[in-house]
Amino acid sequence: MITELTDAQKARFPEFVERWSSIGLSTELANRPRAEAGIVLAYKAANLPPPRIVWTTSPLASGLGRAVLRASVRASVWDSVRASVGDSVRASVGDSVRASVWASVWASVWASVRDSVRASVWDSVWASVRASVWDSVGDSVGDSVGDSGYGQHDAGWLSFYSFFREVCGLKTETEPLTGLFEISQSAGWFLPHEKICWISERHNALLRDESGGLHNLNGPALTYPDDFSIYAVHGVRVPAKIIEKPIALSEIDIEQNVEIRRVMIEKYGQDRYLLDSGAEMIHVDGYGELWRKNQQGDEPIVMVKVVNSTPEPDGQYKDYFLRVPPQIETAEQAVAWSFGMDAGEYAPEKET
Amino acid sequence: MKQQIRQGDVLFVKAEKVSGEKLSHTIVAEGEATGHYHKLIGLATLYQDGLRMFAEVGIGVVLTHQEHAAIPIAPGIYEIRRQREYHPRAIRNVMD
Repeated sequence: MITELTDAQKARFPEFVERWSSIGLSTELANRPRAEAGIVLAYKAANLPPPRIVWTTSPLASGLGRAVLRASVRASVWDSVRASVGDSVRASVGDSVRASVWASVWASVWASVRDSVRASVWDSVWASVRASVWDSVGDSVGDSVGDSGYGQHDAGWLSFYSFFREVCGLKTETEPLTGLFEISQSAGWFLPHEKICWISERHNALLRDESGGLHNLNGPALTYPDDFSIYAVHGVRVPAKIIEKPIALSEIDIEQNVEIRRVMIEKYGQDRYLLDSGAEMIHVDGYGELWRKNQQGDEPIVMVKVVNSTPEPDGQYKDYFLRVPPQIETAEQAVAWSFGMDAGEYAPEKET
Repeated sequence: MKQQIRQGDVLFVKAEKVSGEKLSHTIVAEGEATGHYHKLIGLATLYQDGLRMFAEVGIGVVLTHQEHAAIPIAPGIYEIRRQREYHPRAIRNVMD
């Protein structure tokens, strides 16, 4: 029984977070031989003979492939793989470590990897595959996302067991996971069935913002080799047309979905939107101008217009807009807020 | 009022003491798109404490940037603030 982790063991938390996060976010081509060996091992751990392996270009292609063959492939075996592999490992690792150790590795490794992989990327792929398969072939196969193993996107929970395996020596207890470890490090989602297992390539492009949400204002935020792609802005999935086509002011005003409208405004340019849509200037002082645009169903857009203190090469001073919280009332307050201060507190002596 | 010096989106605010880990460089902030950066030249040490940054500045130090005039920084301890912008709090994914 492992009752506590040594400092040296705890010091390895960041290494596992980093390693498994990059596995989850990898955009490299699949390592097919390694993934195929992993599938055979995972089936063996569930007492199943090796399946025929079919490579696809995206989780969507796997789901559609299965939809076509649905009648002849019998049910997914993911439940039995999960039960004989996942649940048994969970139980035997659970028996070998004290609850406090379990909780500490959970919080430090699993939760962090999950935040970067599952919350930002897996969620979007899941929702998008489900919606697309649903649209294409009806609800009888919409469940293909639930029957999947998530390959690289299983990095969250696998990071947890990999820590116990490599750092705490729980080799026997985690042995049944060997196949899933291999798959996750070499490919994308897989759909395991008794005689056949579809397995997808990894995503080949993945763009995220600073906080890890899928994000690209100029194209898809995530793509697979077959062009199955997901458009998203700051983690919010949006229809492709919002990103791919220029946005007209009139389209923004009729958009009912607040989140989508925010994305449209960001794409249009917040400052440009403010000026084009008839915002009003609500305050002026030596620090700049404060502009406000009220919006239906969403908080007002309030921005301060300030002048760059360094001239452009042609001697002109350029304006720029900064968005500030809606309750701000003066330009001074707005500029002070942008540096984390209250009005009256902000007073640079020198500025360039 | 605490003494303040500003260069573009960076504000030096006089502070009592530094905190956090010593950094091995003197780049205060880097532009995301442009590759331009604010950098202290001379006898200066930066400290990072989570999202906060501090500088210990000796004699004859200047703050430089590709687009802004260099600005001398008097010796002392400073907290360095980056200009921030407001983002409305995210509403959860509503596409489904």
